[in-house]
Amino acid sequence: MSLPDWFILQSPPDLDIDVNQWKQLAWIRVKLLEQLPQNPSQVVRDHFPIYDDALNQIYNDYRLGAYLLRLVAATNRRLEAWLIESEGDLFERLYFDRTSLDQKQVVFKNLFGSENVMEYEEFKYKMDEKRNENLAELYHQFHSTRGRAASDFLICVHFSQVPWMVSNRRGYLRKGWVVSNEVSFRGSLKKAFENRLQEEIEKAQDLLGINEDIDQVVQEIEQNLAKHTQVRSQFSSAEFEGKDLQSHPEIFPPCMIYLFSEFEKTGRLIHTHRLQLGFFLKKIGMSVDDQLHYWYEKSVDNLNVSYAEFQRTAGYQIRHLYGLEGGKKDYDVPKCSTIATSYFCPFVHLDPAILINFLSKNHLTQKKSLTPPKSQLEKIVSRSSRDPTLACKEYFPFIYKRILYRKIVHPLQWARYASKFEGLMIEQDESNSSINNEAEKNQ
Amino acid sequence: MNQAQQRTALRDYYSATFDIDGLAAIINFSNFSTREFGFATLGGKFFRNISFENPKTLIDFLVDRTPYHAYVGAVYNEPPSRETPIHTLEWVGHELVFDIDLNEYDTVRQFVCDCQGADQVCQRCWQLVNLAVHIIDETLRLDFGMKDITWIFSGRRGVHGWVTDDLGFSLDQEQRMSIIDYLSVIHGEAEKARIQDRMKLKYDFRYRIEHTVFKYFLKNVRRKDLIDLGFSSSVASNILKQLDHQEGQIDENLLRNFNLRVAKINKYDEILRRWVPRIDHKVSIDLRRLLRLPNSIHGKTGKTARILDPSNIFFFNPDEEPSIFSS
Repeated sequence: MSLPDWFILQSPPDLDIDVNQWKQLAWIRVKLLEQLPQNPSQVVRDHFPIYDDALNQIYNDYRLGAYLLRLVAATNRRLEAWLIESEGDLFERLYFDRTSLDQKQVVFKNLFGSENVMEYEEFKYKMDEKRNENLAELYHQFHSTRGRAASDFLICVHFSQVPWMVSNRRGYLRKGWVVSNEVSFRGSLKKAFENRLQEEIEKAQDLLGINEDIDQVVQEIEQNLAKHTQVRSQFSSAEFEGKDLQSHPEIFPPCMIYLFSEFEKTGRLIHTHRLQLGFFLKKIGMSVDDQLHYWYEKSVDNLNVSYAEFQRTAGYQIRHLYGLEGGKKDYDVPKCSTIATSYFCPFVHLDPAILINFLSKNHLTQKKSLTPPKSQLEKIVSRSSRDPTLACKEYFPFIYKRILYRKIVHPLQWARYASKFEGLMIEQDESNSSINNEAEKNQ
Repeated sequence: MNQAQQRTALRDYYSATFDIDGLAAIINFSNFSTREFGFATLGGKFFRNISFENPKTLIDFLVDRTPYHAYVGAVYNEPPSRETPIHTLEWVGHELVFDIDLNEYDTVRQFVCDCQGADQVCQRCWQLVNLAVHIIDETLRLDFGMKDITWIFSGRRGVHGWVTDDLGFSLDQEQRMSIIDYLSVIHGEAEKARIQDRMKLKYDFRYRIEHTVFKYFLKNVRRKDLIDLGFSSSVASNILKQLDHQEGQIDENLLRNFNLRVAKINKYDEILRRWVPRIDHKVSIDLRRLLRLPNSIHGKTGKTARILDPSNIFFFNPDEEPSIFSS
């Protein structure tokens, strides 16, 4: 069984093609991706026929268009993020609508690696007698669940390929294999597709600068896609100036400044990172409406989505942060120990070389432009492995020229100290007083 | 022992007793020269970014410098040194390690033993570590299919579980975190920890956790513990009598009976909360972490971070471990 025709991450198509024709194909793909958020079913119906005389040609053209777009995405990070988001959504749709059962298994093997995927029957055969008793129970559970789609089937993927499913125990783990029904793997499958696409985009960089004609076309398309690469308005506009602390990224702790600038650059953050930044922006005084506007304006994947539509869909998550939806809980910013294990802390999650680069550039303070000496940064980075909160504390003086006597145990603690030294005021609310207590305890 | 005597004891240990072959069973010597090592002196000075050409040069270093603490880290594409520190090198791999330390249990140890103060360790509270080893070892083997797991005494108040399979060596941070999440049954800080919704634990794993925890609980239970949980005096006596009758062997009937009684007084989660494994997450997910060198000496206690015998692991008593500083 071969991969489905619509699957774009196949061996490179025949590139012996007129450059202008190629450009046309890329442009068709762009239009298709732009239409997708508005009416995904319509896009799939119109563009991905099941029966057609020229079916091969149609899909070959789509793959060629997608291939050129990868080259374009390699030149611009925001464009790359937009392409990954859009192609990811299209993949999800096509996988659902245009893939037969056999093809689904081939897609699994292609994205997770054939050595990491096993059919359930084969897996059952490999397990020993004693373990099979439990598998029989699982099998029974699978078949007895009411309302299960007829197209659903059991499949096994190696645990290293689906960490999210392992974390959330979404499958049965046996001897390193996550056994579950195909539907529950879909989120991980989409993520694997997006990761592979990102790798392909990185590889595509090597192809630039070889052929002048192709480079010119790439540049042309990139310019035409400028609207995807720009944010609609600048966040630090007069609207917020001097009013709220969120317009002063110089008081943000390193974790938040990293996420903030990463989102500025790419327009895309993963779920936990979005939550972390969202909680923080809320606690330093950003209103729910401001935050809705902020995410709407900066994200790359909602270009054709109206603000009303955005409020209805993604807006739910943002209102949830403020305790206006769901369980109606007013969430706090997670403390550093939680961030280190479940969210994003640069001292824990960044590669040391990237971390040093990031720390040496991160001097947004308005009062002075400091350049921390590299040797000092190396010392901090070497300590970060043992105690990230200590590393954070030791980094503080390089930004604000003030020594802290307490470890940084909470992002708002950093923001409070920083706002003090930057001459900005942060309101003393409950969360801050709890941070004080924590910091004192820590001391 | 004064400092000079301690140094002599360390030198004697590293020159005569240090088991380099035991170390070879845990860390792969084929990439020895590109592995990072770290050391701490008596004054608390800490050095890392050190590598050795071969095991012999490591032993020479240990004998010559007699560090109070010796650590081993990840493997890189080139030998780490002061000129080429680890952040300039490409990470190649690090064994998956689980750190179980009694520090993590400080808030619940009062329900298990009578130890006063954090530094004290007794055979009873060591049962918490034994239980964690039992559950983690079994889960890694059965659920994750890992085969080579070695448990090492940390030299003070805990154990380190080294997974030396090739797969564990190359796992990235997200994959390591997923294993920790899978093994973690409690959420939140120690004082406010709550047990995860039981239905979210998959059948096999849930059975393993509950079965093992209650078995350990019953093996170590005291009258005081039962009364504290809310059992009446007569029920407590009855349970203890049954346990006495079975001479420490906990059979399925007794376990089921006890579970029903606990469910009646709604203390099921309370017992789980006190006994379930608590792993130091940071140690497992940090890819560049330096960990105590197996078979080296813990500078504070003088005890050897020795490899525990798998057949005898549950009878290990940290208090009985000899210290090279005590003679």
